[in-house]
Amino acid sequence: MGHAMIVRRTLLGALLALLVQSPGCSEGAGSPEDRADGPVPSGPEAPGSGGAGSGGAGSGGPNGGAGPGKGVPVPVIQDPALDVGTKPVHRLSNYEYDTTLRDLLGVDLRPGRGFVLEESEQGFNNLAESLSVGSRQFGDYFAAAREVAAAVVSDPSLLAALLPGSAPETCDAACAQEFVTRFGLRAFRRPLEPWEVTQLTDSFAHAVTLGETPIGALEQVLRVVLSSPQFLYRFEIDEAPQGSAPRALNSYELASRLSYMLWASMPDDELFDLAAKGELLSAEVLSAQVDRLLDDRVRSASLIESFVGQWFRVGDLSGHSVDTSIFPEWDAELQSAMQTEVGLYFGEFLYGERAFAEFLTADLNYVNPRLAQHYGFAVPPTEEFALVAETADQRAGFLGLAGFLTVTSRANRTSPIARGNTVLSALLCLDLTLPPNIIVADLPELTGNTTVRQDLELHRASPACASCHDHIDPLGLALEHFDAIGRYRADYGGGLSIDAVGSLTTGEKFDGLVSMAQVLAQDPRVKACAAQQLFTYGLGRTVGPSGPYLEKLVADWQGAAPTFRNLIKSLVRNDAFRFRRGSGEQ
Amino acid sequence: MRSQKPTLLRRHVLKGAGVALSLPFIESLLPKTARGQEMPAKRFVSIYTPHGAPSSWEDTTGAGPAWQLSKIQASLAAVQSKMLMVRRLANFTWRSDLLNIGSATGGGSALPGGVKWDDVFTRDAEWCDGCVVPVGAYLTLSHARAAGAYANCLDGDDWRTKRGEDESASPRNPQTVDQLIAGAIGTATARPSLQLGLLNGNGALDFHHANLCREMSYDDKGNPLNKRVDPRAVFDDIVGAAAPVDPIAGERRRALDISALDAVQQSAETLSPRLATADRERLDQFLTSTRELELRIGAVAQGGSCRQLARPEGGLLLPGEVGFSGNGPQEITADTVWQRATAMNDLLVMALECDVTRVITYQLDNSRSDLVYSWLRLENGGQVNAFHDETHLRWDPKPASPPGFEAISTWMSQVVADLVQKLDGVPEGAGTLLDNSVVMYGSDQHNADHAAWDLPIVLFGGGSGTFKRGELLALPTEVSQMRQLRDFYFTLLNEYFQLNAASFGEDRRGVPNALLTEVLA
Repeated sequence: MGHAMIVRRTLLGALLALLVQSPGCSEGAGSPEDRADGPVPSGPEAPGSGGAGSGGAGSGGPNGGAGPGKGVPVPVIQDPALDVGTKPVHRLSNYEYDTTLRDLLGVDLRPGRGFVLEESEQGFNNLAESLSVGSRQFGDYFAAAREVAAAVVSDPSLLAALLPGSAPETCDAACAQEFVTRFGLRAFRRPLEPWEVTQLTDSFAHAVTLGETPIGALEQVLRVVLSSPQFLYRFEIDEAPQGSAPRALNSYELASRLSYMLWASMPDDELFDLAAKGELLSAEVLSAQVDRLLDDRVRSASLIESFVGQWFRVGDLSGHSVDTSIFPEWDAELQSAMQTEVGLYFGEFLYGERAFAEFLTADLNYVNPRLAQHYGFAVPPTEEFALVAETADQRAGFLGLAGFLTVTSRANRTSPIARGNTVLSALLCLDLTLPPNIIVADLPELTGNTTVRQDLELHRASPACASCHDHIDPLGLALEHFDAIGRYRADYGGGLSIDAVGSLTTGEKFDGLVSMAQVLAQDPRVKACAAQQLFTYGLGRTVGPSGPYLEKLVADWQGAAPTFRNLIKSLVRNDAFRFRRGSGEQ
Repeated sequence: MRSQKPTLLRRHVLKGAGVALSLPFIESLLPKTARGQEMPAKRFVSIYTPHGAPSSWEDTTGAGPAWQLSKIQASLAAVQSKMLMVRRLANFTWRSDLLNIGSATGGGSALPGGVKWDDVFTRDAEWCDGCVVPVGAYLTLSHARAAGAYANCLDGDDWRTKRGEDESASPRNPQTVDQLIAGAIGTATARPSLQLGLLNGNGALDFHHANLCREMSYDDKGNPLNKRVDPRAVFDDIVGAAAPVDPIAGERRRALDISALDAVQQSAETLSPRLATADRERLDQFLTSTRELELRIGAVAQGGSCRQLARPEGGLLLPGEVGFSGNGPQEITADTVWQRATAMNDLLVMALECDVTRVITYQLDNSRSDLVYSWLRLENGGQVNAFHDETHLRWDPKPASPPGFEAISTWMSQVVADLVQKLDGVPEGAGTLLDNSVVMYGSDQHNADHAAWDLPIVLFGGGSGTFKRGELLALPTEVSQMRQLRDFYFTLLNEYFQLNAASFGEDRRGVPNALLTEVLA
């Protein structure tokens, strides 16, 4: 049996690595560039470096030419010696596909839910590297395009919205050209190149010659667009695709990066307008757009649903199953209330001024009557969710939310290992992994005569097991005062008491949820990890060799008011967000 | 979702989800025999269930033609005369340098509490409630690699490593037996093969790509063929392969499809040269996928009409399931889940009956499934929980098999019995569609012990008299004498499909491939 390893996902350098005391649970094992020997980030000014990375920005060419607007200079990279990173052509995730269809066409069919599942990497399903188009996936795209196009042309109001000022039933060649140009920009998220306009108007004409009505021919154009790589992928085409010099992204590319991070969807008209004027090249404008996009609560709900849902696994709550023979009070209403609370709780940090440092310790809950009852709080008078600061209970912070505690449990019992693992990977960015071909023996199930802590002590008996479980088990056992649906319990019943004492492998001791949350809130890894999670999700790629940019992101965030909104703003001003390089093959 | 009785419909109105689909009226095909051919088509259906079978699977009595089914197999009694139960087939594919873990004889590594691997696998194993693995039998330790190994009899980890692929990130596996067959006979039908799934439980992925747990079919390049779990999507795929009733509308539809694909391909070809090498490869994969679809659009079945089902309505998403286009969670009851199972069974029968394909893999659940089988109840009234948990569950006092595992296995037998009886209800030639097909039902491991020995395997139909039926066949128990699953596939390939395969799969003992004459009629 080999040694278990920790793959350190952060690049936050030897500094943090030193904090990880992991005898036997060795670090490394990631890709070579995951090593954190990189240079310290340079200061904000890097004289003489300007210009090196400006190639491609604002140029015409494949991405449709979002030239810099009047008075908006092409961004200059601060330190061209650092690696801003690159990423493969970025296929829409199935979730992004559905939200994009909603915003592009006004349909809510969500065919993406039946597509081939994405492979999650580092907890997220939107990473460019793991998104591909195999045979089945393309077949599904093609079938969905047919279904969606048919739905759009059969709804006069949807079709009219795509053809302002024209009557679809008499749409001629000029009308088709207008449609292709206008709709094409929104669908491909940049102005069309001449060959694309020709191709799509030809598709219209060909359909007419095959006997289609003008509406049928428009339907055909919709099908082509929705099956095209320019729609299904977010291209960021470099003038030197195999080079390694950083280049500033053009305005349209920035518009998509911004909208897909905050809305998991395409840019809206205002972003397209700003892109056309080149104004998104300005960091101030980008930053202001963060506020605007977040304040669209309908669309920024995607950030909570997709990003937070995957970050803490709470998105799985809707598919979570509970053994109702043990927990008869569990039902869809409670499940839904838990999910709503998770979103509202995160919203406090996303929409309000509350510092992220309080994320794990804030004594607040959002409850409707059903959830208040579940928590043992005073029942609010209306069905609305109400903010409750209940200082008398044993619950605090995100880890105390019933939704988190439930989704990290099994149907019939708590799982300290699942809870500990989730805390470890979500908050400390430590992913435990095993060398391949190791069998993990299942420990005996609880028979009711022992506590789960006693059972998990078997991990201590084997150095191979202990090397990882010394990290995992204490974090999970600290939450044992909360049962598999997140209710507080003083003991297990039957004379078995709960021992929630533990410590981090760095030595800090805690007893139960509240003190563990305080210990974690003081841990610099937690903030750094939050930044890394946003970086990974927001850019749709692993940090890889761009570690110095992540460090800079963390440093910038410390300087600003430490709200989550400011973390997002720090990211969009970060050169890793606004620049990219080619593959570096040459 | 409703399961409807098949009716003979020439024109069939699609009932969509509020969307008027532009699918044409269709008709499908007569079986080949009905069109005057002498030999019925050869077909292979592989039904897979994960996690092995509980110990009570083995509670059969008697042997040969006079055997009695065990309690959890009771629902198969109706087709017992057309089934061959095979005991003690092995699948020794684990990499030889891992045998200190994989074999019960070599290992001495300490487990928690000072337990030795030898002890675990040679005595009344603690984690398997009563199953005993013969000394020297191989194990299959990872659920992620087990489903692939079940269908190709190779060590996927070894294969991936030798190709320079990341063992934990690669979605690929060596070609599976169904795809070998489809490659040889698939051109005769509109779909060379179909990949179906019934339940799609998410589970821990054993540090492998999720595909490896979710898919059991891999093509000749090693790419996974993603199964469909949504009856409506399966229906659309089958219908899309069937011949249009209105040739003019069908021709226009096809021309529009091809025109759209042409444009899409033109775009990919124009963009590709502007990209770096790795991205060009991505677009190449995209292009290849469009061309495969083009072939499918061109490949429309020929023939008269066959029984045509109604398009399944809505969907049923079970808690913990993933990748399903239904309308979100519905009330999960024994009835609703059974309706989904029978709907998928009906579609499978329709695909074969209409000769849309002759090769089907059907995964009843993923190879590591944490799906909660909440619609099943234990005798004590308790709920059945996550599948994988239930297989390893310890009870006090200890029963012969974990009751939750038995409940799931019993339910799986009912699903299989329903399918097999439906296949047996389709007349073909002098017999039935079942009689002329080979339908295999089995799992990738013995029990929760992870033994790659005594796989629970049942064959139905007999393949037009190729294989024995109505018997319980017990093969040798000595490790040195054990017969391999690869030998069965080898026999299937050569004796039924007559493909002259030189060998199939690997046997880490170094024993060469040989016909499994014991199963031949």
